[in-house]
Amino acid sequence: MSHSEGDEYSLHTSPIGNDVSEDPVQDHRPRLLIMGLRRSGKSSIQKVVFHKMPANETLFLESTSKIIKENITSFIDFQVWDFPGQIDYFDTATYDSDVIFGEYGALIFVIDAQDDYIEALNRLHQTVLRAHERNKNLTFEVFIHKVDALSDEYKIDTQRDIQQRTTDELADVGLENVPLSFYLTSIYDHSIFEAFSKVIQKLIPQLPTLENLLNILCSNSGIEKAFLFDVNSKIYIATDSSPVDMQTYEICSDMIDVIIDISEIYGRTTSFHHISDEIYEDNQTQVETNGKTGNYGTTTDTANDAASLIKLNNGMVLCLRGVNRFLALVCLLRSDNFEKHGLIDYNFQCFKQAIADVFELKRRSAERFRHEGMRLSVSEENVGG
Amino acid sequence: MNAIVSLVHFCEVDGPSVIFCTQAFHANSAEDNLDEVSVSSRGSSPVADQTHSDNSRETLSNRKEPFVNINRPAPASCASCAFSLPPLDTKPIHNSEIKGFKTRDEENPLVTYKGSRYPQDQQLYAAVRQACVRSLSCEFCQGREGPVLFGDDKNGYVLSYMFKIKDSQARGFQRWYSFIFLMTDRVYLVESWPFLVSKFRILATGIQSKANQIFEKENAAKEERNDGTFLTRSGPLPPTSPDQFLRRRANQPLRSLVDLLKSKDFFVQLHANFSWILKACGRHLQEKPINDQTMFPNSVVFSPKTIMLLDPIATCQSSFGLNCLKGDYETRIEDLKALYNILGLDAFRKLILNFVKGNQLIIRGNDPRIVQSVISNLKELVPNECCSIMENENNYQTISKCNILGLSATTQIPDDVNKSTVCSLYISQDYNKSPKDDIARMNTFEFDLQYGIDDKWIYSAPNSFINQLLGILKLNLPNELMNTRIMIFKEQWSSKAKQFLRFITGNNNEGRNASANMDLTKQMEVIKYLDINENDLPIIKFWAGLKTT
Ligand SMILES: Nc1nc2c(ncn2[C@@H]2O[C@H](COP(=O)(O)OP(=O)(O)O)[C@@H](O)[C@H]2O)c(=O)[nH]1
Ligand SMILES: [Mg+2]
Repeated sequence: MSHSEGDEYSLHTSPIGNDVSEDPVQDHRPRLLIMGLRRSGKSSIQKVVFHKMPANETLFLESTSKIIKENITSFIDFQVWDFPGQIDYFDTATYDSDVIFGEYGALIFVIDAQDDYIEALNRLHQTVLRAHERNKNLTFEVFIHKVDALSDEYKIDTQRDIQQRTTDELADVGLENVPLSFYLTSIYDHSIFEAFSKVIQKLIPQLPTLENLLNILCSNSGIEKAFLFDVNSKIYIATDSSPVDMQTYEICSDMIDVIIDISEIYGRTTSFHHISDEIYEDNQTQVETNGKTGNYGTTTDTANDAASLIKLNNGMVLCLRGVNRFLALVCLLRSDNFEKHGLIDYNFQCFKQAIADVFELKRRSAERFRHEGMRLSVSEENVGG
Repeated sequence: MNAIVSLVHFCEVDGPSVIFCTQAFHANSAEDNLDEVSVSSRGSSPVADQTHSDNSRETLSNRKEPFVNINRPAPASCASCAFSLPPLDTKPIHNSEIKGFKTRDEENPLVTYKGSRYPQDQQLYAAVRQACVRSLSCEFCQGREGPVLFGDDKNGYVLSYMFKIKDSQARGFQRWYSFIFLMTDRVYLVESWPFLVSKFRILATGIQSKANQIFEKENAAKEERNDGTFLTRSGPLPPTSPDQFLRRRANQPLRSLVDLLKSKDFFVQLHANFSWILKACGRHLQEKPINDQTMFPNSVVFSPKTIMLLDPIATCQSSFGLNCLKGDYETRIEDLKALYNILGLDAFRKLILNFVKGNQLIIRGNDPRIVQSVISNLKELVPNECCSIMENENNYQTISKCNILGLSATTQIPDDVNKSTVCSLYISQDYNKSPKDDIARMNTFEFDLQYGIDDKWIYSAPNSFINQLLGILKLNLPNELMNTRIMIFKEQWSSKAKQFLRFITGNNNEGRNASANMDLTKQMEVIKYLDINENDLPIIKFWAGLKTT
């Protein structure tokens, strides 16, 4: 994913220039609205996930005073809006809440689990109530955040409590049908990436197709678990239907880091760099790249050719293949299954082609849609004239 | 000028909040109650509606905030947005809490400046609040610090100068503030942009550098403390994570500006600055066409001379500016340049200097039309109120009646008139010498200049007025342009005179008679500032309406 610089926009209609295409509020990409009380960790999440900011550095973030809007360009384009916790954006005298909440997307509500969360819950209820009023299609995601300091038991209790109170509250006002999802997150581990993955997956219409493709690939190649990752943010946009266990997810996600690091060091000058030496990591994992390492961090076309293999000392093999500019497939399989890697390579090529077809279809329909939109507006003009 | 200046802050607890406002009140429009809080601001607030005067009288305490955030605490409770006064020497008369300051304008007793946390007028409050929210949480300025201008007709127009200051206790170690200048007139606001921005910048950098110093000091102290006590820490256990440590503090609001900057009279100074800005800005903007006349009365379009130019005879108009109308003998002196050509440098200089420093001119001649044309040329040189004319008299009239006197050729000037305060010009044309060309026509004039100020005064030292005037006359400009140029020249000098007057009356309240006792060194300072010469002082004083003795 490539990021445009963190921009701040006025939500007031600008007095000069009604340049529609430039206007962020006219931009119809899906929106992720990150809301919550102040200091709940909204900006930290946004920085850690989309800017690779180390978690410790978030201690020094200044408080957010304006909506920070960020365009994310990837396999799907979307926007992330980081809100200041102090301001009530439903106040119709000052803000046009229909514009803010009217777009297709998700509202992420962040609750600081280390703090007393009663006030946060009140705010959550208000927010759900009023945002739902304005946009029935908004999905609501509740991040019970900063759980790193909580014991496992306490985590579960907290989640249960929050979930219970919220559903009760919403049932009282007749909103029991509004779907809310709850996640336990922290920026100090992978949980925030996992939660974000699930949030984003809901915004991808092709998700069932992708999951299907992954299932087919896994069953035909003897793969235990496969993730389709967005390389830059380490969000996985799809996985096969076998259950996700945290450890597998973490190791797969770490592998992307390894590949990015290596390609950043060695992949800059030449797009094909042979690493002949064997590299040993601390945990005795043997890294073996079979020749082609693409430059990941910056999205070059060679990223689709990247491939890497790591043999773990527990008899498993981690295998990474570039799929396109933004995506990479990371799978975990037994090393005896890896014997037939000619087959795996073949299957993988098929998979890659299928993915390309899926997104090509989407691109074409988007184009058609745009054309139709244009034709529509033209004919409207004719009627008007 | 209706405007309000305020300081606003993005508070960690409350979000955007107004900290302090200063507003000007005019005595005729605001009632002056002792109790600050109940002062109605009707008529003098930018957005106040004249018609609903009494409902707008609401006190601070019982007003409901129009912009309520969910579960937001009352704004007054937060220390970081609190506004406070230095400890007073005398006890306040009211036992109630003091809500603001009042400053009287020494130069204009009708005006008072009031500083308080919020404006009292409900509608104005809403406008300020809106401007505050918008400038801190919506508007974006290049580089984040600096000025932006926004607004609409409903809520007024706003110039907001955003800046951040260092605070070792704040998140990210900084806090955001903004100076807001709100008024209804967009054009005024845009015009005063350079002035306001420069003043706000000075104020902001002052606060920033103070905060920086304290920030450095606190940081150094913190490091020292950490080094010293790290190993020998006793007492309660240290917080387990830095975030927990920060959070513990986060639920308490940050320090107020008074505590942060360690300056007890911060708000007093701020109020003084705001009042000054309001005053200076108002003065700056209220400039009107001088002397209630249009800037260019002989404007090119309507000037009778332009029409004359269309007359075929008028084409014989020469470079000397002598214009002949309907036959050779209808002659008049068309402009100052022509007069200069006739009189020559010395006589011209003497005549003009006598006139502009306030002496009486007596113009006589064999043809009243010539006298008239001389008078009408001369009067263009001074402001209207410095010029009273009697064009065609048979008896001498004193200087108290007129300072330009058109007198019949034979009348004598009485002996008891102080000859150094009058200057007499006799000008005649010999109609027998029929002119062949322009030069010759000019030579048909004869003149005689008598009395007036000492020649020594004229030549002793440079005089900027006359030198500038001569410089203009020497420019080879077309007539219309020359007239315009002289007009501008006059406006420049009358503005100098006004500034001089303002300075003098501003310094001592006794007003106009004060100039005499005003000490000379001070006058010299003003002179330097006005870019004039010591010899111009009589002129300036005369123009400013000050008596010269
Ligand atoms: N322990 C812990 N602290 C966090 C986590 N996320 C954010 N923080 C801290 O929470 C504080 C406030 O974060 P910030 O993102 O600025 O809050 P915002 O006002 O919601 O944008 C910072 O000091 C972060 O370091 C987390 O997952 N765990
Ligand atoms: Mg933030």
